[in-house]
Order: sequence, then C-alpha cells, then structure tokens
Amino acid sequence: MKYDMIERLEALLRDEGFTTFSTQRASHDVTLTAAKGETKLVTHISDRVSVPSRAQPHEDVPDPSVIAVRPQVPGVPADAVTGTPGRAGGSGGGVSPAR
Amino acid sequence: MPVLSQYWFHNGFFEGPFDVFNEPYPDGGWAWISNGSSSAATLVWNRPDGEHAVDLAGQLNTGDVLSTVDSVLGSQASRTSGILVQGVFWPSVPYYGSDPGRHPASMMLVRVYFDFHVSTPWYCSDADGDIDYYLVLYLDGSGHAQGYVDGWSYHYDGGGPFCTGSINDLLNKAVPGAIPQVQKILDSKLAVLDAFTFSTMYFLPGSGTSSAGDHAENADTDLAVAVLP
Repeated sequence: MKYDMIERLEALLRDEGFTTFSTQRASHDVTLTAAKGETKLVTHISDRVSVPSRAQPHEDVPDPSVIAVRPQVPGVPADAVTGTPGRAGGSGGGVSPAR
Repeated sequence: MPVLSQYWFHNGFFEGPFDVFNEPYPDGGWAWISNGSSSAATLVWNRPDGEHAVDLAGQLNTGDVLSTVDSVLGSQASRTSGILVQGVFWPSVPYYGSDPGRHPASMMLVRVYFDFHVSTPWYCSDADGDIDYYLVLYLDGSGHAQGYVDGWSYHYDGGGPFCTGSINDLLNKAVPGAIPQVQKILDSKLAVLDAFTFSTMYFLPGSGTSSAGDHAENADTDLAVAVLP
C-alpha cells in the first residue's frame, strides 16, 4: 500500500497545528492519529477488508503413504440417549484380584 | 486389568462436557455400568489390558511448552489460557473447504489451541481470540507413533474499527511461523514412545483416565490418544 497520501495529510495537519502524530502501518491499511488540544483525529485508509479469522493447510506435510495406521475414533455418532437416574457399575467372572 | 468405560456426552459425540464411568474387570470376566443422567450421545468402549493412554493437554501444559508459545507470541500478543486440546472430525476443520479430499471424512484431527489477547491503541477495541494448530497422529509402518502439523487457524473478536489489518499481519506471520516449534514439541512428546511399537491407536475424550469410578471432564478442552502393543 502506498503511504504518500498519509504523509501529505500529516504535513497538512501539522500546518493546522495538530501534534502527537502516530502512524500504524499494516499490509493493507494505514492509520494516522493526531491531536490538537482536546481534539483527536483518526484517519484510516484501507485497500482490503480485514477478516478476523484465517485457516490454512500446511503445505509441507509427509506423504500419506507413511501412515500405516490411522487413529480410530471409538464408536459412531449415536442418537440421543436418555439414561436413568443413578449410576453404578459391577464386574465379575474370571480370576478376580482383590479390589 | 481391562476396563469398561462408558461416556455420556452432554452436548454431542466427542463434544463439550461429559461424564465417564470406568469399571475394571478381570480377564475373561464381565462388567456392567448403569446409565446416569441424560445425554446427547453415549459411548461404551472396552479398553484392553496393555492400553497406554496419553493425556495430550496434560503433556502440553508444561513450563517448557508454555514458554515456547509465549516467546512465539512476543510482546504484541499475550496468551490468556493454558494449552487446550480437542478432537475434531476433518469436515469440521476450518480449512476443510480448501481441499476436502485431503483426509477421510471420518478422520479425527487433534486441535491444539489457546486463547490470546492483543492490546490496541485507543481508537480500537482490544482483540481476543484463539490460535489453533491441527495435528495428524498415526502409526508408521514400523508401528511407531508419529505426528505432524497439518494446518493452522486463528479467529478473534475485536480489533475494530481500524486495527484488524495490523492484528492479521501479526498473526499471519506468527502462527504459521511457529509450525517448526510446534512440530519440535510434538516430536519431543512422541519420543517417549520411541522404544515401543504399537498396532492400534485410538482417541479418547478428555484425559483418557481409566481410574475406576465416575469422572466429569470436557471433550472441548482435552483429548487423549491411546495405543495398544
């Protein structure tokens, strides 16, 4: 993004008595702030809408052939289940060690 | 001793808060578990003797990992949570749309994520969001546990009206730029299993505890990977 417009604007504002300039530059926008007494000014120029999220696959990943065993996910999505109040468990059979 | 585990998911399968009841039983024996409160989905899983379950969030919330994450963020952003881990089916991964055939639809990826905060100048609202890495875990042809970083994402609220551009610049550089460090952490955590070979790998919601009795955990914030010889 070209910043020359902001630089010319800053010069104009300086002539008008504004001080305390700060400029925040990003890839696709620039923000100029200035103050004159109690008056604060913010000018923002952008050439792209910045969406606050991004997701991207990593390109440098192993060839899928290296995967011999994929992890299982136990079970499959089930229909809603309604349990009964109270919960308990038990076991038996075989040779049971003391618990 | 084998363990019969039953999971009751409050919100959905492998989603959100859940209860688990573990009932150990002797080899060749039997076990039963009665239902408890209502649930949106339930899962019963017989966990054989010899299972080795690794609590992924427990492994990642260590001083060395947290300091690595903090150093990657630098001074412009701060981490506001511990490292959280969630199992996400491939179609729910945010970059699924860019290449749906990249993985089978039934495949679960490991979402490793944390919350962050970015302070902004007076004319913008501060930003709060999460940074996510998606990992693929697997067994190689020799039966060793392996993994790699498959992708990344971020999402935040705030930063308006004028600061989302600079926040995006920060994140677009820092998040993918940290993949080598994430891979290094993953490799170091898997290295403890190097001496062993396995035939089966599966995910369990939460910490993967097999301790007898009732436990309440959250599948959105922890995931375990289990392996069998």
